[in-house]
Amino acid sequence: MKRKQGRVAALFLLPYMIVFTVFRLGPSIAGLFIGFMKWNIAGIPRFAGLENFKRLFTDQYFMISLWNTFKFFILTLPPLIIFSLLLALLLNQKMRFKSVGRVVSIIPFVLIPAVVGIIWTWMYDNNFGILNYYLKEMGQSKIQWLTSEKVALVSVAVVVIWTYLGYNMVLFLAGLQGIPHDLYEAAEIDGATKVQTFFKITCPLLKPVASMVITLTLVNTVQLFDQIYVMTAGGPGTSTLTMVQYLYTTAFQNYDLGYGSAIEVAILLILVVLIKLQNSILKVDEEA
Amino acid sequence: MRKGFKKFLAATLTVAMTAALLAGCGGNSSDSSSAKSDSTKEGGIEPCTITYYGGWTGADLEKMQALVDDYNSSQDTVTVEFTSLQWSDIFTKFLADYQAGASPDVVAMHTFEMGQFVDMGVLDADQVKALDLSESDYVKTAWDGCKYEDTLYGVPIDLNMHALYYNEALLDAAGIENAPQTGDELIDTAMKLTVDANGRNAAEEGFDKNNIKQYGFGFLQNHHTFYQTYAMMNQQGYNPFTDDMKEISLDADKTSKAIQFVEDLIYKYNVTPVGEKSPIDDFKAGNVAMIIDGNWQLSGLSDVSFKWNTAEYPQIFDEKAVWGASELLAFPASKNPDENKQAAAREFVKWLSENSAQWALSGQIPANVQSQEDSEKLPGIDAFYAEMDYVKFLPANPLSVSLFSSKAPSPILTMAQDATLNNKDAGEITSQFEKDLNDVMKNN
Repeated sequence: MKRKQGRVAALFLLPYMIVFTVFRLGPSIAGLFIGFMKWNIAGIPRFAGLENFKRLFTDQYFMISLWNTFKFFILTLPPLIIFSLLLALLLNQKMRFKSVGRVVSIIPFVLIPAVVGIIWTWMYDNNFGILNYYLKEMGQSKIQWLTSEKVALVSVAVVVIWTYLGYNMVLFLAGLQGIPHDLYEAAEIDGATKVQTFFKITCPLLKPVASMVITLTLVNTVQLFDQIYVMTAGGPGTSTLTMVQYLYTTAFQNYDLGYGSAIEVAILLILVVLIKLQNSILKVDEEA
Repeated sequence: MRKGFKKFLAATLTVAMTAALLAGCGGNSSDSSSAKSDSTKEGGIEPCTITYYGGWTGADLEKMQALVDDYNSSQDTVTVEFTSLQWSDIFTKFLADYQAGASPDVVAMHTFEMGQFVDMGVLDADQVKALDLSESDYVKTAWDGCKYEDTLYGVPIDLNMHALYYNEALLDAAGIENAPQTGDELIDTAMKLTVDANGRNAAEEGFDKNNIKQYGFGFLQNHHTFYQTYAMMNQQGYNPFTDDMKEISLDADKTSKAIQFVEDLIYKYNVTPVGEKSPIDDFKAGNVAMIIDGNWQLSGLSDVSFKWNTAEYPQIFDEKAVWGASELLAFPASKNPDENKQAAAREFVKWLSENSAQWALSGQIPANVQSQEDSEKLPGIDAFYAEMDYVKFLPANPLSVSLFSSKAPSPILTMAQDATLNNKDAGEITSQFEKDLNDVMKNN
């Protein structure tokens, strides 16, 4: 019976697996090998040993992109987890128009990322954008949202948080709705406060979902491309140059596929380390 | 029964989705040559379809598509399939197709991009030679721009460059008779046209630089700022960039002076908005009185409500010079050359060059002299024509795309934005710029 169900499931998964293998897994594995080559797409790849990987340690732009990616991750991950959980908790209450709230929250996520980038670019315009217009009306100075090296990364982070908040909220909401209601009833009978209920019942039971949300958010923010490309293209200067932006420029503008693949491997290793770290932190809490 | 139906449904859906997927991934060989297969040969060319790649978008794309459609309908032998994406995307596609043995038959590019493709060995100079073109039929600067190591690798189709656009109505209202021609005139005019919310201009006592309603002067604060710096370096008789440079040592004095002039417009004279994203839109909205931009903007100004005009790029220093570029058509090398298609491609390129008068409607200046004379001149194009004798191109160095990239990380972008957005010391910017250029050349 289980074997038959497994076969049915495998059949449903087959189209996705074909697409994944051909367009994601295959090129990713190929990329690992290309990292050992010197190749400009047009010519014949030449074996370069560890040259590309050694270059990572001396390339100032790679170091800048690594630091920017780390800063971007710190700016986006905590708000995306905390605010989306709070939003899910709010929209899980018995209240009017919660369906509307749920739908409105997810809208930013379903918009095309490049379109989101363009709209926010106009809103952020220094001189004629709506945000600075209202700041001026309130007697405040203009902010150089996308043209100040100090502010640009934060401005882009705000857009990313706005985009992904609803998506994370939906995942948390599904997790919250999977928690048996009688546990809350029992806690109420025992005199537990809302805060105690949240930390003693909701959080532990939400941990698997939270782990998944954190992993997905981590991957999405480290690999983010569209909004940054449209809004700042890595500028001003190199202040929003992330590793993925640098990979794109290296591989598809400078046609240095070998070095671009080395950057890809670095991104992969960083993601593996971060995900491992996140999993071990959550497991440590469970054991405690 | 229900389990059996589930399995059947799963299997059917899987097959249907997989088939749809594979159909979508299949090559879209929309070979329309079958429509012309019954036609007789023309000029020894068998009926065929050739592919042509370009990087135009927006209004330019429409004009080029119209030219391609004209060619296709003007004869029965060759069908041109035209694909146009953003420049960097079309080049990636071109190189990937070359690697797959399916090079396009014609590819457009800019002169400064040509060097890297020659260095990669993906361009065919023999096809250009077979066209037997005459230098006198083309604008000299554009012709020379298509050469790399004295070999012609492309056919120039147009020139574009910067010039000054100005709102005549605003100049008239301020009592200014002529557009500025020198650096001092530019500053003076821009200050009179930069007005705060209280109606005071930047030259008057009590001017509030934190409350500017209208700016006197605007320009793109990205890689185009470097193009202006490049122009001003050339105006001092100095151009350190060459086709074969492997390292560079910048003249600190001349480079710093050029950078300082740009910085002063924003931070000393307060006539240019910091971080201006779209000067042409600011100009059309009447928020900026004068801008520096290219002739590609001319076709978009037909419905502007105020009186405007153009003037030559101001001479800030000792000589006249302005940044410019040229677009050319090149013939990709092929792993599997098809002589018939190559002949067809040459015919098409020759036709396009000789019939590029229509291309002038996009605001571009045809590089073919006869097409220039035949073309309808858009309002405002005269100033650009006047600059043709002193326009300066960036070199076709194999690393030009990396050195002069419009996307971060880019030495010219960092330089431009350190000046326009960060107001750093011009001498420090020059030193960093030199270091960044040399790092790119060393690492590649």
